[in-house]
Amino acid sequence: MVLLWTDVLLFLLLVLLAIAIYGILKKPYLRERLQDSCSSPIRVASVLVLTTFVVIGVLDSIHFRQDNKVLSVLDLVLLPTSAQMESTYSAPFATELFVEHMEKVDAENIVWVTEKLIHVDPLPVLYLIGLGLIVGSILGFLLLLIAKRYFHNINTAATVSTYTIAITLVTLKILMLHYHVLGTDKVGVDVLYASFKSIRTGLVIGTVTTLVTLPFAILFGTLAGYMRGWVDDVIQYVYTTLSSIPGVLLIAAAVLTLDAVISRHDNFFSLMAQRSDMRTLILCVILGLTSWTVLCRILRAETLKLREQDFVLVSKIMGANTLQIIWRHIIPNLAHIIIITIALDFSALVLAEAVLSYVGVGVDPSTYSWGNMINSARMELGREPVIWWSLVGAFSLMFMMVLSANIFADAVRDALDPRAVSHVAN
Amino acid sequence: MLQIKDLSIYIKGQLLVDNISFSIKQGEMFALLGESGSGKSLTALSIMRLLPANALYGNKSSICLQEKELLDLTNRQMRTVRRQRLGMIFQDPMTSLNPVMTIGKQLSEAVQGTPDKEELISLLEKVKISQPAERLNNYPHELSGGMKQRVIIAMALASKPSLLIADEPTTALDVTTQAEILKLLRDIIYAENMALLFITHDLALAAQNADQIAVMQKGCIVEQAASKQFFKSAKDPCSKKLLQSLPDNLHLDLANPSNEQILSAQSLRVYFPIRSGIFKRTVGYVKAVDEVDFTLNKRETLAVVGESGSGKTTLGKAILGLLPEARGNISRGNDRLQVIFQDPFSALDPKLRIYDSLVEGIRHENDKDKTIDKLLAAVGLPEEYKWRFAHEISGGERQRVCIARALTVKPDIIICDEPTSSLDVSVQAQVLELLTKLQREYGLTYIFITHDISLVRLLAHKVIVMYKGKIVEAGDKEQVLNSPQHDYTKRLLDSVPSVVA
Amino acid sequence: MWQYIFRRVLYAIPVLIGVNIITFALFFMLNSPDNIAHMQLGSKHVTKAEIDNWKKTHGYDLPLFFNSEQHSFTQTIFWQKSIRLFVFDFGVSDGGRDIGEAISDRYLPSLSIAVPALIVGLFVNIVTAMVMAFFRGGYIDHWGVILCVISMSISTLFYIIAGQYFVARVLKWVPVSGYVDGFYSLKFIALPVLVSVVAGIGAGTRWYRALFLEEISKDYVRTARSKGLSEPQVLFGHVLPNALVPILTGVVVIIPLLFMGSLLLESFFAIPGLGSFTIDAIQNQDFSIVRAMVFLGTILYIVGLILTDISYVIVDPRVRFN
Repeated sequence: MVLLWTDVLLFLLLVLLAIAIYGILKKPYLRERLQDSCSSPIRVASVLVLTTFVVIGVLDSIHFRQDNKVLSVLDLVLLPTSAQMESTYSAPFATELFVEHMEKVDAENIVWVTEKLIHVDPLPVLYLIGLGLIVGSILGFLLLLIAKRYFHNINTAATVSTYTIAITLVTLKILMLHYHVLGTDKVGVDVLYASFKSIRTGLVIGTVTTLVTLPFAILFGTLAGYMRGWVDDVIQYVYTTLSSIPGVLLIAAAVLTLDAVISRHDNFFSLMAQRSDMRTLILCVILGLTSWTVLCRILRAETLKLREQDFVLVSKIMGANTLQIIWRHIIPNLAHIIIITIALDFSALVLAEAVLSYVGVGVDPSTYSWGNMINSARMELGREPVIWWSLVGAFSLMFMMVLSANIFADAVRDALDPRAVSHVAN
Repeated sequence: MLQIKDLSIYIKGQLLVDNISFSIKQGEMFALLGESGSGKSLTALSIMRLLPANALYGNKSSICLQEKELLDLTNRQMRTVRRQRLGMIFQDPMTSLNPVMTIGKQLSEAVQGTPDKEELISLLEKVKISQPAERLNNYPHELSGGMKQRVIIAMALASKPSLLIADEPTTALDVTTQAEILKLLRDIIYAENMALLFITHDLALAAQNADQIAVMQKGCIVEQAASKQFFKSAKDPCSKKLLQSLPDNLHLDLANPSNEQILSAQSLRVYFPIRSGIFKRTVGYVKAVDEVDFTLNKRETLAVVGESGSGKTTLGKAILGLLPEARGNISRGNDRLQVIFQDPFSALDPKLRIYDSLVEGIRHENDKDKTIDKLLAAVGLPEEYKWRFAHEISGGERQRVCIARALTVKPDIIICDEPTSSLDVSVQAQVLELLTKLQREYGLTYIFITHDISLVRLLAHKVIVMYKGKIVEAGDKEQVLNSPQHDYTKRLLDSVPSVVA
Repeated sequence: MWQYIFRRVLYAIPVLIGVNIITFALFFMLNSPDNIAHMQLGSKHVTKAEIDNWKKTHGYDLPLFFNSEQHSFTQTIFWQKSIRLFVFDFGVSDGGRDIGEAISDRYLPSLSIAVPALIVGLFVNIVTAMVMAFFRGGYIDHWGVILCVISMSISTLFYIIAGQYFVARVLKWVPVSGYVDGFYSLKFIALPVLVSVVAGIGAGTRWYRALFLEEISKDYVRTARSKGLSEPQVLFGHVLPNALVPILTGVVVIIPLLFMGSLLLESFFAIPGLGSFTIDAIQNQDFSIVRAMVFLGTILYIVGLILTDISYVIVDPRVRFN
């Protein structure tokens, strides 16, 4: 086992999430509202898709060491694709490389030949898809069988989504055994494999960042709002100053300088994976430190309203001190705002990762991420015929994750926001 | 003029107005009376056809205005009817005007064609607004609540409608303003020979003003009669209960105060600084409470009467020691103070169960559960309520929980800040009875802050009347109520609607 | 009003000092001038002499806070590199260019993209949101919201790459990238502006629709309806002016920042503006430029905040100076 820092934080978050969900399910009226707001087919589907992404990300976060390389459970699942590489670009479902290369026949004659792909076993695609359908359906059936023991109301949408996801994943796995479904990239890595590996990076950035944000935002927001006076002045000054610096520039500046610091202490990391993981973690911390101000401002404003509520006054009259009041009365009443913000921020952060990678201050170039995939693929867009598959792989998976996260965030908001006038139709 | 027949309204499949019928004649003031949730406001909106989008009319429903069936009209025709024949006045004048549009512009929208300035001024004069020409250029926030309500009345009257609908037009206003607005409405109705549908929860207001009264309960009209008839011989048990719950008809057993002084205040002042300028220097003070003196004996109830902004709530907070700005002398010995607030929604933490709200005050007792059960019983709530959340019980029950919570710390003095003003009359009566019962049993002393002088008669021993931060009159209940000295007290007493009068 | 503005500017000074301290700490405390020189000179085999030479030419050879040799605070890195930013003296980049000059050369191309993108985007978003609010609860609204969520879930990079590929490469309507001064810049500007508007439509429309719906649920709208006004009269006469208050003030805060340009658009479309200047600096790890842009961006943001407060007073009669 190898425990990377982000693994630890991701698991910690999952535990927190599980506690939060348990807490919600324990309260009958919240459970009812959550079920209500998650009952539409689109929302059911998005919850299941999101769960799938999380499961893949978690599989990719259980790391171990093998022959001086750090591998994850996902790498095992995706064997042999994860261990094999072609020499360079190849198109989806191709059997030979995309680029021709010269071969001298003799002194005068040069022929252009294309090399066969090494790791392709061209069975008929339709046959493989048929196999996928059958095996996938069986898997879906088994999953539903297990799910029925824990959930009473599995509706059509849930059933259909489960089958669709199971069939899709199984079919892709079977196809990956025989083809490069989305081709290979410049250095010959299977694009679909890279896209799947990028899920974890997206998850880490979307969640760990929030974990960094929360303590600052909650502590400072409630203190400023409840205590007023000089505490409020100081906290307001700090977050006004931080939020005055344009976000991308502050992130860029911080990443650039910390990068230099890391590279000076290169010998600190025994493994390549640890070093690139540290860079991801630092990116999360920086994103968190630059973005806690937004939530802090909202929480301060809400606390200002809450402290005028009569129940806070009563508690004060009964002799509770500031921290007791904040802990017992203020924070529980801010919980819905915090949860809604986490859900809404997640998709924004996943999208931001791609942009930051493009700007050059994203995750380490050796880390699989959609941003890195897009960044390296866009150089090839000028080429004829165009190499599009890396972009399709990265954009479509990122789109699916962000879309399902967005729809899920809406469901959460509708369930928890007391004044939600159902701004969303879906 | 207006005939409503078999009107039913469903929202999300729930029947909220159940097959009601009534009619209003020209020149008549028709009061639709009911407690909260009785469906009276929905009825008002249904005549305007302004129900929320998810509301449905029942099949047989019919609303006829001057022989015209409103429910058959197209949206465009209905707009013309609203424009020409109907006028509506809403409950909250603070939010019912467009905040970024001048009074003049909003008023001219209500008039047909393009009115000239004189016409608008004369409309404002009709509702007795001073300096009408200047008001036209004002924005709503620059006017007081009463003035805003007058502007809304002017807008409703602009197209000379045949039916005016007033949905709780004075609930958000002070008592003295309330009396003025109602007098204005009555005068206009009779002068212009219009009909007025007056929606209210206040039986006394209806008694004093309306010609006809219909009582609504749970979506049905339970009784309908001419106003004088109704108050002499109400038949329906529900209307009887309403009548009996009126403060005038209630009688409470008051405790006998002892001679032992328990609380006194000398020259109590709360000045809030006004800051301005670059360095936020203090340029002046708002004198919220100004030189207030009083004394209070054990088992006594002191009523603090005044309208909004008179400083009565600030006085309460100062006595509780919540205001660092408070100056002066309060001697309260070792006596414990507690408070009951006006709004039971805001007074209970929505995230806590009743049990957790109550347990906060019980610190040093071994058997907390037993104490909680005892207190719940004392305020007349079943034991199992302790596991509920605040939103799972009704407003009156919530107020009982607040009283129980106040009792957890075994207080000597309880400050009651308008504890019944957000409750229906019948619930108000129960809560007042509970308060006096607890006073007798636990020997409590109350400071009862209220805007409603009719409650003073009911439960106070002593009264102070506050106006703009100062005490304008103080003394024993009988003395103040029967022979008021100060003008303001007289005005306050005159504005109180009374069934007996 | 002038007193108010003066006070706001006064409040801005401590914030600027704070930003200055943060950037100074980021750039000079975490990395010593030696590290910076190492990074700029690149290869690992640089001699001490080369480093000293680089530090001397770029002004990094001074002490950080206090020059004990000359007994002065001015002959220090802190003074030379940070304090002088306050008088807009941006100095020379690590690559040797004059930063102030580059800024004055480059802000116009930035504006030529950012301003039309903002105006067109605002207009399109308000109109689509208005249409959806008008048909609220109906099919147009329902599918409109779904489209908004979908479009919000697509990366900006996709809009840029797809726009460049289809509009410029396949359809060949406009050049792929580049920029000229004057009237012909139009054909270079069109695509970036289009991409920017399309990329922003989902989030913008959804937010504005929510604002409109919130206004529609308010009491004064019911009053307006009870006067017999028609739905367009209610929407345009009452709802829009009220909803414009948050919309406009949200826009005003970013107006000064338009000078900074857009990092992504300018870089993809090779617009010689401040956005691409910044991104080049980040990629070349040119600390001087990044620091200058951080400071400039902060000042522009603070100006935006002040303008926002002033615009509140102008559009909302309830708010007064003070």
